Amino acid sequence: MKITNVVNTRVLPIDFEYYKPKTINEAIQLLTQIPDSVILAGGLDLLIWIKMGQLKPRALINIKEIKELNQVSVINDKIEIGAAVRIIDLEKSEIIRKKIPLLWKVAKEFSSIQVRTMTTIGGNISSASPASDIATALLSLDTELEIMGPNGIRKVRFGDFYLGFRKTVLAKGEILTKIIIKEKSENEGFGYKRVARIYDDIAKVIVATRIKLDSKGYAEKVAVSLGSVAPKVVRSPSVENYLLNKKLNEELIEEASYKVVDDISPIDDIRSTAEYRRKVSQVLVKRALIEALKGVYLA
Amino acid sequence: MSYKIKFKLNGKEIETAVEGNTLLLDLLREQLHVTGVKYACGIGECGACTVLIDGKPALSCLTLAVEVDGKEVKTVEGVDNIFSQKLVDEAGVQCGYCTPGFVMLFEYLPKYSPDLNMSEEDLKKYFSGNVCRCTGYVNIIKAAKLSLEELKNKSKPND
Amino acid sequence: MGQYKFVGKNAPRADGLSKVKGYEIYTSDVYIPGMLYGKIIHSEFPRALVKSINTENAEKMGAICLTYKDVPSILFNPRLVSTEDATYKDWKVLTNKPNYLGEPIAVCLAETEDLAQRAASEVKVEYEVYKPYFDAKEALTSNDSIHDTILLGNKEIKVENNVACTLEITEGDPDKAFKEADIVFKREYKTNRRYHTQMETKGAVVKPEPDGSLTVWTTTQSIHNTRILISRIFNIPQNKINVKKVALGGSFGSSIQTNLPTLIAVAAALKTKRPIKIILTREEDLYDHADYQMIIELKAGISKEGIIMAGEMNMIMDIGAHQVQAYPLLGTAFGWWASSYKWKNFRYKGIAVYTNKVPSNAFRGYGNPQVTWAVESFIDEIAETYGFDPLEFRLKNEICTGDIFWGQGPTVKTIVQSCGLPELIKKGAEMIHWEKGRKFVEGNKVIGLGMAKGFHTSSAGSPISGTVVDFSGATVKVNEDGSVDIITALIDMGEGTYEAMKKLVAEVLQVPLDKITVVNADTSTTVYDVNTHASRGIFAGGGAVFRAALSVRDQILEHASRILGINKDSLKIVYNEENGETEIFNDAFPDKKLTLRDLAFYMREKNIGTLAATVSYRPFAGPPHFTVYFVKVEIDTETGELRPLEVVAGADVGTVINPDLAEAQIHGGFVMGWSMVTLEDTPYNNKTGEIMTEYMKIPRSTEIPDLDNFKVFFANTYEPTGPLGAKGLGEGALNPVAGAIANAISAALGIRFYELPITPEKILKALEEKKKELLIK
Repeated sequence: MKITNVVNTRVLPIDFEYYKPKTINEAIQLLTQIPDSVILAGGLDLLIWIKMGQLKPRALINIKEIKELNQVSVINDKIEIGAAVRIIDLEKSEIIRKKIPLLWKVAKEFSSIQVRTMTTIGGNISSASPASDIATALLSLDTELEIMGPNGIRKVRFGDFYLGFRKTVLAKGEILTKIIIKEKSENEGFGYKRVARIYDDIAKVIVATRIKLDSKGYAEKVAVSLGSVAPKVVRSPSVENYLLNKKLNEELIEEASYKVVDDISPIDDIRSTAEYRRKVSQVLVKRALIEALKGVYLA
Repeated sequence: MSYKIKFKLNGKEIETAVEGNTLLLDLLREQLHVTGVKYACGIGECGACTVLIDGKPALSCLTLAVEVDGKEVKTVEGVDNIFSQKLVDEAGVQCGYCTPGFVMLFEYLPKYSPDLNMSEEDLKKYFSGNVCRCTGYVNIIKAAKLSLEELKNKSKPND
Repeated sequence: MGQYKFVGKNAPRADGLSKVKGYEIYTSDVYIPGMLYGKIIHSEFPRALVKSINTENAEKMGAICLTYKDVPSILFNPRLVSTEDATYKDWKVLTNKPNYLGEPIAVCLAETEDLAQRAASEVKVEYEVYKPYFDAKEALTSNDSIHDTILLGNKEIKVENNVACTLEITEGDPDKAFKEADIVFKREYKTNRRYHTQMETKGAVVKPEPDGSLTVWTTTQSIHNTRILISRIFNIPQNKINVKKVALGGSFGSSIQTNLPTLIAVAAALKTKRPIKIILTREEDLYDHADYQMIIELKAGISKEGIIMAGEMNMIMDIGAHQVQAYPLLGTAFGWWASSYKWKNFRYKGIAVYTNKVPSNAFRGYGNPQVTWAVESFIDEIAETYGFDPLEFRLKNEICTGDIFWGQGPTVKTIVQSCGLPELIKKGAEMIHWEKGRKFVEGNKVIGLGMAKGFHTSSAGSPISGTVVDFSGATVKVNEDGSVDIITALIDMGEGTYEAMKKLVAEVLQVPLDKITVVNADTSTTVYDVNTHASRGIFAGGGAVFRAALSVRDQILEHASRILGINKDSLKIVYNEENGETEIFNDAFPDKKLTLRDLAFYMREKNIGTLAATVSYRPFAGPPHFTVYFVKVEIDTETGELRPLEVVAGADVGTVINPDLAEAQIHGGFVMGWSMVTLEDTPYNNKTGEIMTEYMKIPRSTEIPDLDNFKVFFANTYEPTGPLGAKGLGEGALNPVAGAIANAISAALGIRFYELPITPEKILKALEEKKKELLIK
C-alpha cells in the first residue's frame, strides 16, 4: 500500500466534468469529443484508480442507466446481456440461471452484495483484470461482444478481446454494449473453482470449465479457462486437447490437469506466489473438470 | 464544476449543489452532517459506508454525489428494523463503528431473498462484504437468524 | 450466580440503541463551524533528513501549512503509563529527521479536505537519504543507529547498535538446573508484524475556546493522559485543556498512547486559532501504528517424569522507528513467559531494537499473544516428542492458585488467588472429545485438534508502586429522585465496561439498571484514570466505581438510620421488583421502610446535601484471568486452505458480570487469533520502506465456524481482590488462540511451523518437502 502524498481514499482531489447521456450514441459522442474522458459504469475500479492517483480523467460519462444497456434478452439460442446489467441482476435472473448456469454460478458468488449491486458486467470485462471471475467464465463459453464506436458497430470474439495485461481491443471512443452468449446445450456441464485469502477476495487462482459429451459419452467440447495466473485470462489448450474426443473419467481428468502448467505464467504478488499458483492451478483444474463432468450427468 | 442535485434523504427532499468530484460519503457526512454512515477504508472493502440508493445497497465511498440526483437515499438514521433491535439484544454491538453498515445491509435482505429462506451459510455470505474487528461475527449472524425467523412468523397468515 | 440481582444477568447495553441508529458520535463525526481540515504530509523515505520544505504553492491555494519549525521540538513519549524515570523519549510532533516511510513532517490545513489534499500534494520536500534498516538482527550489528541521542526521563542517553533498551532477569540457578535436567529442548519462533485494523482511523478535532482554552475530541484510550501530554508538550496548564469522551471505533491498544494526529491538530489550532479536524485515511492509519514483531528463543530443562526444572527465553523485539512502550514490554514479555509455567530456575534476556518501520505499540495482549503462541507450540512439541500427555504435562507445570504470578513484569508480582485452569482444561477436553484423537483424515482433507492455555492480567495492579502508573477514579452520585449517575474517565471501546459498572452499582445500591447512567464526561469533570488497557476496565475502573458505590451506600445508611431511628448497621437495602423501589429497612420493622427516592428528595428538601462519593483506586493486584481454547482446524492438503471447524473455549473471569458480552469477547478474540495465525502480516519492501500488503484482508463472517460448533463456558471461580469477585477478559480472550490453532495445524499435518503467519502457501510447500523426505527414506 503506497503512501505517497497524492493518495487519498476519502476524497477525489481532481476536477472533472460529469455527464449522464441518455443514449449510447450520445455517450460515444462525448467519449470521442472530450479528451481524457472515461466511462463511469459501476465506478468501483474507476474511482479507486482515481483515489490512488493512477488516473486523472477530465470527464466521467455515466452510462449506467441507458435503457439499451440494461436489458437481458433471448434471441434464438443466444442470450444478449446489456453491458450495464449488474452482477446481482444476473444472479437474480431465471434466464441466466437456466440458460447460462456457469455465469450464474459466478454471479451468485461474486464478491460482496454491495459490490454485486454496483458492478456492471461490461465494466468488469472492460477493466481487463486478469483476475476477473466473470471474464474467466466467459472465456469457457461461446461468447461474443458487441462494441459500438464512432465508426459503427462491430462484434468481437471474447477470446480476442484481451490483448495483454489490462489491455483490450477497445479503441478510442468505443464502448462495450452487449455480451452475447450461446445458451447451454444438452449434455453440457460446468465447473467453477477458486482459491482466495478470504471469501470475498480477488482470487489467487480461478478455474472455469465446460464439458460437452456426445451421445456416446465422449468429450465433444472441453474448455478450461483460468484467471489470476497470466497477464490476461487464458484457456488451457494443453489440458483441453488431452481430453478431447476421449471417454472422460476422474483418473483421466487428473492426468490431464497436470498439463495446465504449460499454458500459464503465474507471478509472485501481494496475494500469493507463482509456485503456489502453479500447484493449485492443477488441483483446481482437476476439481472443476470433475464438477463439470458430474454436471453433465446431473443435467 | 458545480452540479445541482435534488434527491430524497430518509424521506426528506434535499436540494443542494455538489462538485463533480464530491463523493456521496462526503456529501452525507461533511455537508449534510448525517454521520451514521462511516468511512473505514475508502476502497469498498469493508462495507461501513453502505447506504441504500433506490432500495439497493451501495458503497457511498465509491459513489459520486451527483449520481443520486432524482433518487431516494436511505441511511441508518432512516432505518428501523427488527435486526437493529436483535443486534442489541444478542450482544452483536461492541464498538459500534461497523454496525450501521450491517443494519443497512439487512434492510435489503427481504428484497434479496423474498421467501426469507436463508441458511446460516447464506447469511454469512450475505454479510461477507462487511468487516467487524470486535465481535467475531457470531452474535451478528445469530441476530440475523433470529430476525429472519421473526420476519417469517410475521408474514404467516393469522389463524 | 443466584445470589446477585443484577450482576451475572444479561441486559441490553445502554449505548446499543444509539449505535444501531447511527447517532453515536465518534471523533470523525464531530463538526465545528469554521473548522479547517488538515492533511498530514508524510516522509517519502524510510530514513532521511529533511533539507527543505517549500510550502509556497500550497499557501497560494489558500492553505495554511505547519512544518517542524512551527511546533515545539521537545522529545517525548506519547504514552504516559510508565513513570517518568522509566519513560524513553524519542518522538517529535513534526520531525525533520523521519525514521520511517510515512512519518509526519508537515501538515496543510484548508477549508475542505479536498483543498487540503491538493495543497499537500503541492508541498515540495527535499531529502537527504540515509541507509534504512528493516531487519532487527541486521540493525543490531550496525554502528549506524537510526537515533543518536534520546531521553530517559530527562536524562540524555546515547543509542548504540540501534538498541532501544534491554532487560535481563535471572531467578534461581538455571545453569545448574539445565545440567541436571534429563531433557533439554530448544526452539526459535518468529512472529508476524500485524496491523490493528481497528475500524475507526485515528484523528482529532481541536477547538480553541473564547477563553483561550482548548477542547479536544480524539481517538484515545485515555482522556487524562492525552490532556497531560498536550499540557507538557505545548506548555499549557491542564485546566485550560479539556479532552472530551467520544465513542471509540475499536482500538486494541493503538490509542493507549496519544496518536500524532492529535498533537498535530493541537499545534494547528494554536497557530490558526481555528477549530481543526485531522482524521487519518486508512492508508495513513496503516502507517501510524503496528504490532511488535518478536523473535523468541525458548529453552527448557525437563525431568523424565515431565516436570519442568529450568527455562530460558531470549527475545529480540523489533519496535520500529520509535519507542512507545518498548521497555515496559520487555518486562511484560518476561512476565507472560515467567507466568506461563513453573520454570523454577530461569533466565530472561530481552532486547528492543530500532528499525526504520512504523513504530510498534501495544496490540491486544501486549506481547502475550506472541509469547503464548511460542510457549504453547513449544510445550505441545515437547509433549509430543517425549511422549508426555499434553494436558497432564500442562496441568503438572502450570501456574495456578497459590503460585507466584509475575503479571505485567518484574515489578508487578502477586500470588494467584483464583484459578480455574484445571476445571477449564478438563471440561473443555470433554466437550470437544479430546479422547477421540487429534487427527482425522477425510479424503484430501485432514482435521487436526489442538489446544492451548493462556491468561492475562486484570490491570497492572500490585502491592507496591513500581514503574507503572495504574489507578482509576470514579464518582458515584445519587440524583434528587434516587436515580444514579456514574462519572468515570474510563473509555468503553465496545467491550461493555460501562454495563459492568452499572451492574456493580446496581448490586451495591440495589437500584435498577435503567435508573443508572454512565454519563458522558471529560477531563474537567472526572478524576484521573490511567487508561483502558491491560484488561483493567472492570477490575480497576469497575473497582473504583465499586468502592465509590460502597461509600455512597454507607452515606445512604447513615442518613436513613437518622430518619428511621434504626441502628445503621442493622439496616439493609433491597430492590423490590414488585413496586420498582429501592427500599431501606430492617426485617424486624417492616412498616418502617424508607425508599431511596424519598431519601434523595429529603436530602434536598431539608438542605442536608448530596449523596455522592469520589474515589481514586489503585488496585493492589492484577490477578490473572485464564482462558483455554480447544480448536479443530480442517486443512485441504491439496490447496493448503484452512478453516476453523469447531471451537470450545473456557474462561475463568471470576464472577461473570456481563455473560453475553464476556462471551462476545471470546468470539472476537478467536477470530482475531485466527487472523493472526493464518492471514496477517505487513512485510516491508527493503528498498523503499513501503508496506507490501493491502488492508481489510481480515476474516469476514464467512471465515468463522458454524455457530453451533462454537461453544463458550465459564469456570466457577471468585477473585477476592476483584469487585464482587470479578476479573478482566479482554486480552485473555485472544492470547492462547494462536497457540491452539498452531497446535491443531501441527496435529493435522505432523509439521511444526516456527513463523507466522501460517499461510496455505507455506503449508503446501511444507507438505511437499515432507513428501520428498519420506520418498528419500
